[in-house]
Amino acid sequence: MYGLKEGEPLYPWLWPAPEGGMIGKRRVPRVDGYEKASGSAVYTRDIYRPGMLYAKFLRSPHAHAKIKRLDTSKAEALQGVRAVLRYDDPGIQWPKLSGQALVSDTNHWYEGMVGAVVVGESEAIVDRALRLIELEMEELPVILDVEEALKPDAPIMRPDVDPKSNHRPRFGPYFKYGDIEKGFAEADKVIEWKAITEHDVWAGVEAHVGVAECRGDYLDVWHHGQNWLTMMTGLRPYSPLNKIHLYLPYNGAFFGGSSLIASHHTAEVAVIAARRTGCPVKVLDDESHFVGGDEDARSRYYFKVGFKLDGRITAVQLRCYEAWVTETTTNKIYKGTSIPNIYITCDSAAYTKPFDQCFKHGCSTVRVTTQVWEHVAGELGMDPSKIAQINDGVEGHDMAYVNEHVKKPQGFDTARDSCKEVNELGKKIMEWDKKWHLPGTKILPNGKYHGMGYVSTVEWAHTVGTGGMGIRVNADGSVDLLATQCDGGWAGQTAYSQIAADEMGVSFEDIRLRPFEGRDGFVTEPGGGSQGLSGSSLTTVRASRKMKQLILEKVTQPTPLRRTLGNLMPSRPAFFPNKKPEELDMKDSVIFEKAHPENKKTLAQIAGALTYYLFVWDYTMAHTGRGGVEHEYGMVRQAHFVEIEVDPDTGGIEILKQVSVNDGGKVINPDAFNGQQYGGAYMGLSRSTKETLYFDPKTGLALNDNLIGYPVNVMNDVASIDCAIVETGLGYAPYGSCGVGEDGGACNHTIMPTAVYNAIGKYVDSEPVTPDKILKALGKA
Amino acid sequence: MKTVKKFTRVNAKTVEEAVSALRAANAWAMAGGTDLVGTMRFEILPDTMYPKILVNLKTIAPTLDYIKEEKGMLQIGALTRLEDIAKSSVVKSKWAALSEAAHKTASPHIREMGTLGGNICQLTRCWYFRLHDNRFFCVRKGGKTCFAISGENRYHSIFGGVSACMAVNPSDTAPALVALNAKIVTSKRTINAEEFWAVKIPRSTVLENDEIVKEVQIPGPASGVKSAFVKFALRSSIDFPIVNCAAAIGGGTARICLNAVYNRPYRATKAEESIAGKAIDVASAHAAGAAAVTGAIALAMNKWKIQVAAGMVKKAILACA
Repeated sequence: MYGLKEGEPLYPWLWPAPEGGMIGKRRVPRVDGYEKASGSAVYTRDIYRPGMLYAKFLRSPHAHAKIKRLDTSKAEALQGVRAVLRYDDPGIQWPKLSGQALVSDTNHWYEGMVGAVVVGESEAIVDRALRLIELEMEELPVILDVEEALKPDAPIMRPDVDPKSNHRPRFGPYFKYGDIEKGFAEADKVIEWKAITEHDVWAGVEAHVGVAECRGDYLDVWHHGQNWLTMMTGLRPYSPLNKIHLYLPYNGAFFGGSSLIASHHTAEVAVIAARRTGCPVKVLDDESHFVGGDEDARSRYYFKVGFKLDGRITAVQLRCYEAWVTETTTNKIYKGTSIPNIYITCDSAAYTKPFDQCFKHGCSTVRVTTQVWEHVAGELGMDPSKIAQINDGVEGHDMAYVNEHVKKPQGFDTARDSCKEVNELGKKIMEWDKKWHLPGTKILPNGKYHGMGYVSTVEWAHTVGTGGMGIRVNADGSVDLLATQCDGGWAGQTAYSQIAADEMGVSFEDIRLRPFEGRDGFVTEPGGGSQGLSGSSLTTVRASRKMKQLILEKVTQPTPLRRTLGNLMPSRPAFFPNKKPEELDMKDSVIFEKAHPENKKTLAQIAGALTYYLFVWDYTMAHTGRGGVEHEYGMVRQAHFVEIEVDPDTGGIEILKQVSVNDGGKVINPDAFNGQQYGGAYMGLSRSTKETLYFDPKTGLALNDNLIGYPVNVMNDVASIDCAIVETGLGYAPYGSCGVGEDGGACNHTIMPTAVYNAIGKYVDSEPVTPDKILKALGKA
Repeated sequence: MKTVKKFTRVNAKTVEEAVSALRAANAWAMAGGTDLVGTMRFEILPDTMYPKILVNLKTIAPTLDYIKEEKGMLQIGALTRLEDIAKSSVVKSKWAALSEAAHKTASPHIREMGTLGGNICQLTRCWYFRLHDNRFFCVRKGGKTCFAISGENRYHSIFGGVSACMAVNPSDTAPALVALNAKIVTSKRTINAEEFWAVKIPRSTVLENDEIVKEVQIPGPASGVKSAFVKFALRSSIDFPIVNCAAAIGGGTARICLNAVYNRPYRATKAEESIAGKAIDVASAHAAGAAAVTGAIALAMNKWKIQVAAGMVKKAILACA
């Protein structure tokens, strides 16, 4: 296989990480560290172009309405307004992505949908013009509950899409494995329950923004998003792609669908406005923090689970509305358990929920295992972590099967047991065995209930992704990694540099990742933050090895006569004459003869003469680098633990301690890894205890769509977080690594029902678990 | 959020000048601005009420920013920042409820800007009233409907409405001032704290348009009286209260005031009667908490707040032990 060192195994996950270098080292300077700490980092919102205009949206003031009259004449007449782009402008093809339209393509609007875009010389002028627009609408029915929308007598919400039904099948409407009826027949006990989630939103720091500038056919776009490749694809209608320069500056909070859907629209609207006005345009979408909701928002889960009295689960049947758990790649109860019979259906409807954005994709599937562990443990009076351990496995097989049929033939260490290791370490840090108790049995001296919560899941992503990287050695020996960023997060970018430094033998300080220059064409894994590094590490390793090989070859050869900028550059003898590449090595940017290390040259010394030669690139597809392995199995685990107190007077939850243990397979940058864990824990616990967008039941309007009313955790809301790392090498990316980025936020989102149940002995399977729900469960409200 | 509409700023040099400027239509007094600026940027009020003149009180000389104790009475200028009150050793020494209430108001950033006068004069946080772009023209804006009555009312009044408004008063310092038997000195009169709040359109106090708060006066505590303030919010360090409570108990007397349960700070007289003169323990505090919410009327979604209110009275009493 390409990139393979002599004697190395075929599978990249078995390649040993270079020792003594940057990989696995702490206190590595982050590539974004200086700019962010110094305040010099440029975000999309900071972009300014000479002559730039500003644009804002006229959004629907109603949750569901039809337009009767839209008069923009006064706005158009206002001095300083350059254009008013209307939804019904026949000259504009408004963008659509994933079937969703930001700008209404009919006169039928939902809250958040745009009916006009005002472009003017300043924000204040645009705001003034927006106030001058006269809009008359006919309000249409509002249905806030997905199940209500599916009732036969429900009003049809989108007759323009389907005049007979509100039903909308989810992507992947069902998932089936094994024989569900057989599973129930084998069970000693069968239980049923319902769980729900309320409506949480992105609530990011930097609202959507897009900047576009046209120069003839050429187009410059600054995109507030994480995914270079899909944005580039979205720009196809506007210019030949080889005439587009797409830049992704820093992003102030971003994730998944909020990048993939709404912010793409923002950039495209900027392009449309720039084309129409002939000026650079910045589109400011200040309401975007609260538009739409996660695909999991307002979900309903109906569980039916069969199990043996020893804790082995024989069948899981789940009927879901709204939640997206049937997709095989994210179906964690299938990927990471030995449960042999699973049947899940998933439906949705057209109702008053504007946009789906998968900004915490996978949370809904973690919720399935969390809920199942909690309820089966509750019925049996067992510790839920033991239920997780008993049912650990892969795709319906137990770990003994996995050891024999997966780990052994694929070269993994069969002695490593990720579930056991993360559970044992987490329990030790949490003092779980000392603190855990039967539900509702421990009241503290302060009169509060004491509760312990647990969630575990399979790794987020373990695969090699699609992506590319170029590497160039400059005349002074500095090295550029040409790799447009894959994500809003920057931990991965630093880790690429660490891998490249170790694999090339170049000093870390000599490497610079050039992420913003989206004209090079090298794009690292576009799959998202949960797998950016594991997805792109193979191409990084291969490109780095290729560059090292190229350097060692070139220094053993004479440089021929060549012409540069009109000057004739003389030929020169080899830097290491009469040596073969394999007799040389490079470390810390010094090339040396292995047998005589004193015979050495720095990379800077040779780079000037070899400038035009020292360039390589590599590209991996999703299936590249598996060494013939057709199917990858989820063998890596994460576990999260939480300790709380519940106040019986108020229903308030105090989070005393949280412990996250992630098996990263092989961790490249432990500090960044911990950062993901800490951030994820805060985000997840915030969603688990607080975050809900409330709606007026009559009008369907969101009532707390601002950062005062929508409560995102602050640091004081969690007393203590401990993060720990396990490295089993059971991931499929190079060195046995895997992706964990999304795990903390999603898992901790689902944890609070388990802790509250343990505290008060009553189920509160509704997230977030807010004080009103706890008091109701206690019979006090 | 939009850029603010055009307005005129008047830097008042004296109280009289401020009062005079406030007589103009749509003139609003501005102290720290932490409430008013948000009100303007979110455009929560109809055009007819949108501030057109902002009268800056921070330029008044001599300044209304002071904390002093004279003849046993605490005097705090209306422009004193909440953070200064929270940190003041004078306030902490005898008026713990107010010190704690100031400390538990909002975030450090807001406390560094927000003033005592502003905190007691702030508009309601009812989300129907506060929704951007004046989406709900409710009774507090001159409309005919309180949308919360049949709408999302989980945080609304548990003691009924005033003028058909079910919004609650969100101030943290207000119940402390009532419990401590404070007086509010305005440019026109001196008002007992208990009588200072009202349901107006859109304001929350009895102040007339051309009237500003100058000073808050709090008598020294009687012998044996201890005071305390407790607050329950989703985010303990930053949010407006779901329910808060201040109590001053001792020497056979008790003054207890809840807030965020009614349009105005709610004096829990039945709880006072229940606990006054009794030894404070969990049982007596619990009984007083239960007494505090007798007569409470739940809306469709806020029955839980009745329990929270009872619990907060209990905690405030226990904190005075």
